Amino acid sequence: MKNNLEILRKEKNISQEELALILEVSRQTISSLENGRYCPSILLAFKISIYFNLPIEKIFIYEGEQNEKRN
Amino acid sequence: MKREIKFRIVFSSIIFLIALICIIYSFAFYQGESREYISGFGFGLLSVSLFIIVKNIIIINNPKKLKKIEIEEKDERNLKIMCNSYALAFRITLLIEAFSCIIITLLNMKDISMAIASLLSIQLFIYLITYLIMSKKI
Repeated sequence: MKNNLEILRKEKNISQEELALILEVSRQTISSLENGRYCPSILLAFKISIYFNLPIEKIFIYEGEQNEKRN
Repeated sequence: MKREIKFRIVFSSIIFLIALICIIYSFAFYQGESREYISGFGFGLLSVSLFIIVKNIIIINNPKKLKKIEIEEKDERNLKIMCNSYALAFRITLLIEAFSCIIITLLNMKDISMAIASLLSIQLFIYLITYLIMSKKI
């Protein structure tokens, strides 16, 4: 699953560390999310969506099942 | 989280006391061959429990550190990594046991193969029980 997290974070001008503190996750989680290595839980996806004030589908882009298998 | 840390301190203190009893018992009362084993066990437990007590006291008195630890421990990616690692380790253990059981049976060492097979059965039985419990919970 692709996402625009890095772009949105940079638009807000905050570091991974700061975003991690806001979302109450580790910095590594933010890094993995940005690299597309990790798919967030629905709870974390909602937290991110609320923080950026955007719908989930504007942040996370579903690409089909084939790309999901590595997560 | 503070409650969990307090519980860890209390639990480690109990372990610390058990370790202390082991050491005192091994030096003052026990005269058998296993004296060194008991005292070694005691010193090992004593050092680990002391380390955990000191670490948790430092954490509980430092709100910034407490928050950091809380995030690290409740982080969903960390929890997923932990679950996946446990599952993989369990699978590898089962495979090793199954293969070694077959090889040892072929080598005609019945007692050892029976022991490994029993261990394998117990592990699979526990897995079945936990699977049933989890499927009712989730």
